[in-house]
Amino acid sequence: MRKYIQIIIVLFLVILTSIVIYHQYNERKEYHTYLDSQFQRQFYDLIGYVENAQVDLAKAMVANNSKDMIKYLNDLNFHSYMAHEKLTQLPIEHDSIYKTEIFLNQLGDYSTAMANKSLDGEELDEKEMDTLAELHSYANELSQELIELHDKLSKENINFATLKRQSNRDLSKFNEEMKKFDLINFEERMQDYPELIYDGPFSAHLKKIKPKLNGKIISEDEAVKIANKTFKNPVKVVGKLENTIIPGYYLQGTEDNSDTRVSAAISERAGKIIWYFNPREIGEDRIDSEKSIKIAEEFLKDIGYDNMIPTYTMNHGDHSIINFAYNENGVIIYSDLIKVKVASDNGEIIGLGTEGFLINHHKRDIDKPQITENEARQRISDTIKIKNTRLAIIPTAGGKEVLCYEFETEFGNDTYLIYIDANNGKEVEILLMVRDDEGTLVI
Amino acid sequence: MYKKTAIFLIILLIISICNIGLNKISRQNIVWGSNTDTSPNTLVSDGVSREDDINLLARAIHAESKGEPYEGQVAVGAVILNRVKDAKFPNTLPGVIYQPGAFEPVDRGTINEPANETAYKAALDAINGWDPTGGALYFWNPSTATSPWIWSRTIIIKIGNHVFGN
Repeated sequence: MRKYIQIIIVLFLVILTSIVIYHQYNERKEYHTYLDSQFQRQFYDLIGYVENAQVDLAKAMVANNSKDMIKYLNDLNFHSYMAHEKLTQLPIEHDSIYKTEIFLNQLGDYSTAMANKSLDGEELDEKEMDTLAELHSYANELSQELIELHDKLSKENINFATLKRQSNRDLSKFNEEMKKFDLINFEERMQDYPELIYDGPFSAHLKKIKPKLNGKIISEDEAVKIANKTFKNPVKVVGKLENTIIPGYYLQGTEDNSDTRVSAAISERAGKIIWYFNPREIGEDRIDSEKSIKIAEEFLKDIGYDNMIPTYTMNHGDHSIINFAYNENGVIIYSDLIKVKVASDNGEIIGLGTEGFLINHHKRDIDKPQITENEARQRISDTIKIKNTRLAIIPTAGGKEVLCYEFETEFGNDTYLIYIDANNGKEVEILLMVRDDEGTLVI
Repeated sequence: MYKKTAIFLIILLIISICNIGLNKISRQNIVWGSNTDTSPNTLVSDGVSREDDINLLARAIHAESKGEPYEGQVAVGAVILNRVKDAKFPNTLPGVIYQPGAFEPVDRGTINEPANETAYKAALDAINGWDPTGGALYFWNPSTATSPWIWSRTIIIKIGNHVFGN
């Protein structure tokens, strides 16, 4: 009898386990299929967007007036960014597709730059039309290769979701599978891809910035001395900052507790502090943001930065971050940016960032603006209340600098900064200032 | 004999049931290009500044670099933001963080853990423009990095256990 019960229990357990395992198997299969169909859809979307981009390019080239051309260039911008977005969310290894990603991004970016040019009433020159034609042939090749790849994938029954799973298990097998996904031909063709230089955030020349920092090369010991002179926590050199725009020494505090240890980088040339952090605990607030700004201003003067004026502040509870821009005879130069972080308990400087200033600052010959402040004022809608005006140099997305009239304006309950080019009266930028508990943000 | 079989089956059952739970968690990681803002042209002082972006970045920093020195945590945040601005990578913060295979915590699901205060502060500093890496796009842990490709990058700085480079 006892044996009988035991057998029943075991049988019952066997059945229960089987049910659970079967259920799991099904569930797993479901997730797997779900994942794969999502990837499949993205792949179809990708091909669709690339094909659309190619058609937009063709239409933009044959459009016989600038209005139509701008329309097609705008579509092109949208389609290439969407294609880029789809491509980057597929489980394909970064190093086998990054050139394709650059291509899609620059395609979108370049089309915006050309559309803006047309909007300004300028015609595209021959070289720019040639570039469009060249981009068109690249887009054509890319869509061909994507279609071929897709054919191959469906013939060989390769599953995106399996690929994703394999990457967690067997790296070598995964790499083998991965090779089938390579856009080899296109990536190779990209070797002779022209270097596109235009006014946009992905323009090729942006990588080649040369810092305008001058001065003599300093030694490790001098770096330590500079840090110790500026901040009270003792530091030592622990590494180097190399292969970057401003090379330097990497220093850390000598205390053992890594949670509160200070750190800094000091430029090899001229011995300037590039960045500094003091992540210590901060006690109760005693200092308001006005006092913080004063302290930060004094501090910058002490370490040799004159003519810096605060442009905006953020109050993050136990500390404030104050942005400073260089002031050259009343012209605010936003590119020459320094950030200072002030603790709200005792007003200590707990952070410094000078990279913007060190890279961009140089003696500028600022020409007299071609248009007067009043002329610039006329460009702004009457419904907007102007509170303040000053001259400013702002950086453009393509890394250039433009002299502008900056108007601080009010519309509804919001504050906007409107920038009018001081030489041709064009509106360059509108920024919305967000004032909240944290302070003043500019977006 | 029967007793042993029964114990074995019970253990198997428990494992299976736990596994169902695990499956549920791993599905949270599937995020489909939810961010529709693909324009990289929006001029923000130094990148992104919305509250949900700060939280996402803080969680990524926390998951990737808990226990690293503070500047190393800011550096991880800076790498992520540098990618947003680079043509080789997605153009939005969620796009970069959830790019398949880009960050281990996303594959493992630890990105969903709440960030601690240090990671949150580091995220704020990175978003406000601090970049201890001087523009790095990659970082890796020399003792665990398996991809030979990653070693062909030029090294900019080593902070704590991470190497940052391009």
